Amino acid sequence: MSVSKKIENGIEKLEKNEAFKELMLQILEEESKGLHSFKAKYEELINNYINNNVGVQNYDQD
Amino acid sequence: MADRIFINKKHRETIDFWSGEKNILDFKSIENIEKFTLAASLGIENPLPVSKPRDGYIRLSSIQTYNKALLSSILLGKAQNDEIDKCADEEKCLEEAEKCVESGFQILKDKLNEARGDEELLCKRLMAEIELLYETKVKPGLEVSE
Amino acid sequence: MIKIEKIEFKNFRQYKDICLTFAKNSDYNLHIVRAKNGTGKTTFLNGILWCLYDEEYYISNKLKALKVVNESAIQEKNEGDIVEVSVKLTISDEDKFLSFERKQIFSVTLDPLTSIKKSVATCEPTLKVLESPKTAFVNTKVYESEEETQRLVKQYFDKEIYSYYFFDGENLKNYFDKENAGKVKSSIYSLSQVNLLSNASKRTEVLANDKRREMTEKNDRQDVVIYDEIDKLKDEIEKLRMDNDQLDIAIPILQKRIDELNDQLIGYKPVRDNQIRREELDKKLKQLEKEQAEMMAKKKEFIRTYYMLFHLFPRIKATLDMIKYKEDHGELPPRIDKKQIEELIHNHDANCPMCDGEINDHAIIHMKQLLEELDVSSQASNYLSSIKGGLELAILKCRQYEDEKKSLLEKEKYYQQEIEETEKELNVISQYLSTYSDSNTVIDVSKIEKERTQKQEELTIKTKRQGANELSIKNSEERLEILDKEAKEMEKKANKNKALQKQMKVLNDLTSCFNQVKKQLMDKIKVEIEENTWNTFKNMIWKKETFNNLKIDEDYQMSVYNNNLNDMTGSLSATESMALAYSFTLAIHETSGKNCPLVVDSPLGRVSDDNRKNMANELLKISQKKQIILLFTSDEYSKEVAEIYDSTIATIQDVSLTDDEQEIRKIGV
Repeated sequence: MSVSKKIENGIEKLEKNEAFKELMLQILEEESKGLHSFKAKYEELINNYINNNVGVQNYDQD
Repeated sequence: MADRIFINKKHRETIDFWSGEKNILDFKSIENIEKFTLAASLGIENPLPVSKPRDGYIRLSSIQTYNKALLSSILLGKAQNDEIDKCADEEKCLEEAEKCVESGFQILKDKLNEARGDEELLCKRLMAEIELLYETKVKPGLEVSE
Repeated sequence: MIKIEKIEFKNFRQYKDICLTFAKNSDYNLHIVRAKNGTGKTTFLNGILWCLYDEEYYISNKLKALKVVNESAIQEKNEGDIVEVSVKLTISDEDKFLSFERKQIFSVTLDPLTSIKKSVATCEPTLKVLESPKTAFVNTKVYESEEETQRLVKQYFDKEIYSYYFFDGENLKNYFDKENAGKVKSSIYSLSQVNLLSNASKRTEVLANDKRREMTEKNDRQDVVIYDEIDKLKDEIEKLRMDNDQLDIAIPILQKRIDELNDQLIGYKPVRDNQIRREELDKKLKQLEKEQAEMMAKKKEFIRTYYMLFHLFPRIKATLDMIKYKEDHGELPPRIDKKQIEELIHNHDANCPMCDGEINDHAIIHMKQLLEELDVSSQASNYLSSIKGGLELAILKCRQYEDEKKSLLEKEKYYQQEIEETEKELNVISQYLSTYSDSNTVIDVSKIEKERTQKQEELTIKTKRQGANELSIKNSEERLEILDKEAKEMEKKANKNKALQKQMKVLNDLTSCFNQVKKQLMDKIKVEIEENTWNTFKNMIWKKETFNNLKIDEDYQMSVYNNNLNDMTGSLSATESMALAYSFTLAIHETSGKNCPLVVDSPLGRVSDDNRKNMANELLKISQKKQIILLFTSDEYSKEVAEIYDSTIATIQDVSLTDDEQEIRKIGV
């Protein structure tokens, strides 16, 4: 089961950068698969996002 | 059983001070086991539980027989006859010694404070105490053994 | 569109062996199953429910109901034979078929009193789901585990809202109650993945709190203090080094001058001997001071040793006395191992390992007596033996106290005296030389001596200071090393904190965004359901001017308002309630995102004549986009309904009971 179109549309409307929206979708995709131990997975996705998208400067401006 | 003897971290301060610039009673040059046994001997009448945070202080494998004998006597020397079997155990004896050290280091600290930090005065007072202990406790005990 | 293709019954109540198909395509996906009252329309519905959920929700009295197995199937068999009950529901979803088949086995038994054949279930019903592509029968997937089959059932026909797929027109009273509303809400949130957003938001919040906790552990302002102390120490060390650099220059100069002055004095015959003597005494003093320092170290060792030994003495003696006593009384080492005896007492099935005799009650008493005599086990004995030597050494040392003390004090006194005397003699020489006067105008001995004394004092002070500086530098460097380590740990932590801060910010943003999307979705869903329900409802009922609007609250409880904005929900007629129930049901289907079929028993049973046409037309219209299966009684399928449906619907199947009323058959097949 993947994320519904309605949710995708809802995320699209947010005033956030594309990478952040992508992160939200990734998390929801994992949730839809049924996550038992979520902490490790969430940490992985978030750290990935930070490493690729967040410099101290960039993020402060977001 | 743990592989080392523990002391409360706060006693490190006392040990570091005594081993530092002032080098009281030549603490800098002596091994941890000697410092430990000295403190344990002062605290034998007042064993206290070892509070946290604890520091590993001496590896058991490094303790020689002589020191082991001295430390064991702390517990064995006050055990009743029916307790000997249980108390003749290295782990129990060293645990008791750890407890005595808790109050022992405080006594050392107090002695130096009473001598106003003056090592010469401290030595003088300790010599007097040793003499008194000898006359009142040790000499009569040695005479009985003969 | 998801469609029911067929339903196959085997030995399920009256549905002994019948297959009803709904595969035909037409403009209107409306299918009718018609039967007389009491034939088994509700059983048809219950069959589907039993298949999917292992429950017959529309049974009137569960406790007094017959078993699901067809009676005649049982009667036809012999004792010991088995009868299999099954209901198989096949649906199509875009490019695949799914078959949900539930089976249960019954065995035939004979009642011992009446000799009537009865059935006994041999196992619990089991569900299996088969999934295969429409184009071929290969690559069929089989799902048999409870987890998988439940997931598929939930995906298509969520049990929580079964009554909104398999609708009983006779049982509307619970449709609008709070419990049902709660289930609807829960199911819709599940189907529309609102729960996904809830979970994600909760989890990001939990993680953010974890990070916050991690960051605020030991958040005191130690960092500034440490760096200040490090800077201070570095300054101190720098100053001391600079001082020592100067002393390194000054001290040799002083020494050189002192040597020059010494040479002058040696070079002057009248005072040569004094100077020579002085140099001997200086050397002697240095040596004495060195030896005195060594003696002091020994004194400290003496103090440490005896202070410790004498405090321990009573315990050392008591322990040694105890060991000796036990040795003298043959307890050390023990003749017999205490632990072995204890084991024999507890476990005396075996014979005595020593004499091979039986261990009877008398032997046990004897062993217990022995235990009382033996205070010490082998293990304890070994330990005591191992420390005996050390204790004896300690006692021996105690005996040496008086001699050692005497020697120490003598030495202390000796050095004190020697040093005093040497210093005294040195003073005398210095005094003599500093007041020396003769007629020699070239060499002024007293002046030389005064200068020499002053320089010597200066040298002593500077040398002492140099030594003290070196010691301070050493201690400060050691302290600096510790502080540097601490500072590095702090920097590591600060970097870690920076990383934590970033993570926290992302997590907080995620929580907020998930909640935002969730709220929007929830609002949208509610509005959609409201609008869809209202539109359908308006079309279904004949009263066009009475009702103003319809609202669904946060708990998904519905209210219908008249033109005066009064809540009319409790005052609706049976027809209006039915219309509302249909409208709501269809709105839920629409919102769930899955176009599932609707099966309705007695679709127009409670609807009065005037409204039948409206409803029938509305259902027909809806069937253009959704499969609807209606179960009519012959009476219900009135002339007006037939006018609308006969020429438009996809299929109409008539069923009836056989003459013996034991099973249902299709009519006209």
